Amino acid sequence: MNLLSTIRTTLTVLVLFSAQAFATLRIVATTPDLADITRQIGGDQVKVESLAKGTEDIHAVPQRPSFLPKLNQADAVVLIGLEAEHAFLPALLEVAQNPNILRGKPGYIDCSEGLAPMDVPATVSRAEGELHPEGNPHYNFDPRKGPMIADNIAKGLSRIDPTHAALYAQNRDEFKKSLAAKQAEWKTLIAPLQGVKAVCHHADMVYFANYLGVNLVGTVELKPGIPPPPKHLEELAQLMKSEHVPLIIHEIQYPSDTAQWLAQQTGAKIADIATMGNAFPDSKTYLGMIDHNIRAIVAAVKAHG
Amino acid sequence: MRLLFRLSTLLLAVNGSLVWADSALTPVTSSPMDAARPSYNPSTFNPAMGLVLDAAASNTTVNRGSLDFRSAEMNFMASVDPFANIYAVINGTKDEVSVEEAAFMTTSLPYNLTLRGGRFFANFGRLPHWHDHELPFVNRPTSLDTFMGGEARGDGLELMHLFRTPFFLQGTLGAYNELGADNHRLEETAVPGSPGQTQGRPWGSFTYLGRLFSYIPMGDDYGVDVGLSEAVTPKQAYISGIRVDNQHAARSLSGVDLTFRYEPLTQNVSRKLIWSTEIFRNNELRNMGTPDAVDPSNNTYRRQTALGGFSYVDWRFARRWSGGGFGDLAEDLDTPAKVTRTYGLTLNFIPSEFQRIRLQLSQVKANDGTRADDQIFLQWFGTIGTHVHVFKDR
Repeated sequence: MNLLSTIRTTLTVLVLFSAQAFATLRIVATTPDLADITRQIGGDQVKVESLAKGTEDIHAVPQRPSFLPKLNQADAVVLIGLEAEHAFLPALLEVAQNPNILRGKPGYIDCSEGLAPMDVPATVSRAEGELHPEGNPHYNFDPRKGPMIADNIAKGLSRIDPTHAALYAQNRDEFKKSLAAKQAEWKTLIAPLQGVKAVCHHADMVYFANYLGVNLVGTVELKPGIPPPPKHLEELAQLMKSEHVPLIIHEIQYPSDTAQWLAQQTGAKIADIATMGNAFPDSKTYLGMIDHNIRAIVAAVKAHG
Repeated sequence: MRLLFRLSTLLLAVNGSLVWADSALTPVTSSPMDAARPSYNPSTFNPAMGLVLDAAASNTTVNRGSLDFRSAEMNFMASVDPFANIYAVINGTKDEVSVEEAAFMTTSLPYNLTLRGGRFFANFGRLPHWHDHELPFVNRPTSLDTFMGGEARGDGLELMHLFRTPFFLQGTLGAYNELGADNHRLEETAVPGSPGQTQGRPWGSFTYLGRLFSYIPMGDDYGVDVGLSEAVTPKQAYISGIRVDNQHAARSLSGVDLTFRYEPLTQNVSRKLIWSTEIFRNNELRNMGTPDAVDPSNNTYRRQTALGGFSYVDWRFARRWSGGGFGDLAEDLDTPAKVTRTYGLTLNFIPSEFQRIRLQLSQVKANDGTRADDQIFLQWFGTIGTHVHVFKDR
């Protein structure tokens, strides 16, 4: 009887354990900052993994086969959207053999839903570089878009797990409160940035610059995704000198040598910024990423004087 | 063949019922704004299209100078319905226009299965299913041409399965009329007027493929792809155009592919290394003399085993530049002691993701007394239209 009792107890524990395990949603986010927001909203109901680690170029994340088992067994994928992940996500979804997370399915959580995109090209031609036909996808650096991202994630989680919709809504509101508190702090920090001119490497700073009040006058890249020929860099340096540009925004996934050359040529200061969460020790979270970026830019502008 | 057709029909039916069940859960939205939306455009459902142009200038010891239009390749892809996609690749060269690929591919089969059917590049090895312009060198390696017969093109059916393991493991099973765009061993069963054409292809004369493919991550920046492939034709009905009734006329083509990758998390647009090696083993009954169709007893057959393979390195050392080297060894299928060796260096200038200019210096040494061919190529490749990153071509 003792043996039978032990077996029965073991089986009960196993069943309860596996029921608990299955009750947890498996979510794959494309970037660490989206993973962080998803964790905050999903709470104990979700297990979240990020495909990118934090220092990659979102347009060039390698299609690692090790991503496939994660996507195959995921209940949902959380993404930036607007083709930001074009280099890896569509190809991986095609072979991940998980119809529940394909575009248009309940488990496809596109955080750009409801966004009024900037830089929507009037005509789509590769003569203008690697354009995103639906508009610039780098909205996630602008904290004013944080509530929209949270809404989309909460909506997506509720879609695949309606029983916990109230919890997701509550956690989403908590996240928005934290964000609002940080925004009040950042408002004071960014006040001196109004009208400051800057250049960045890729055309990924439009939303963030708009939030900061920074005026972008050029990019290191000739066109989006097109590396700069020497003539373009010389012209950019001339432009920076004539426009008295004090700030070079250097996204850390790009080589720093060009930014350093521009700084030497023009006297502008470099701000090393993250384009994903987890890029720096102090930017492991979504709020940490934005906080790091704002402080780096404020410090660079202040250093220029 | 009918069995395969029934199987695919059954799988599609199962798949269909699952997708229909899913669609009931998909939220449907409509609003008063619907009426204000643009009117229906008949071209809305047209397939995505692209065109790839490949041209080269060359100077070789054997062929001297040449300016070549190598190919213009059109590709199309669209969803058929919720259950399948169709894609096609039409390739035009200076000699011919051919259908390189035209296949359907299921999109939501149960049990992690994907079924592909039609004409396509079979999932054998790594480079065998790459189109010519995607290769890391100007010409297809001699070992691939010798052992596979050009690209791994096959007319048939292929079933892929992603195993539900914590690590990546993909399996493929396939059945094809033949494997290899320029492999005509089995087409001989369809010579006009031949028994092969009138009687159809016996089951033993199809080529069957099995492949396992995995990936070993080695930290954040490194990883190794590992693949094992085996293609078997149980009974070749014809050898060198001569019908044989030998029950032991099986052909086996085996392959091992290893690809080491260095893809750093930071600045991987300007730093990346690929070191890839593939080894092939061919085992088949070969006609060792001059084929004699009039008196079959004059033909001498011998089972021969030949080995071949290549290895290459491509190092992306700047955002616009990559360079590397390659070596290829190919034993002759009839006389393995004869080995063709090819070595070369490449330098690639990559102005954007959609264009590449390649300089290649290479030398081919055939071990049959012929003169070594010293080659210099300048290749240009560009693409317009739709552009997708495909997992199998990574």
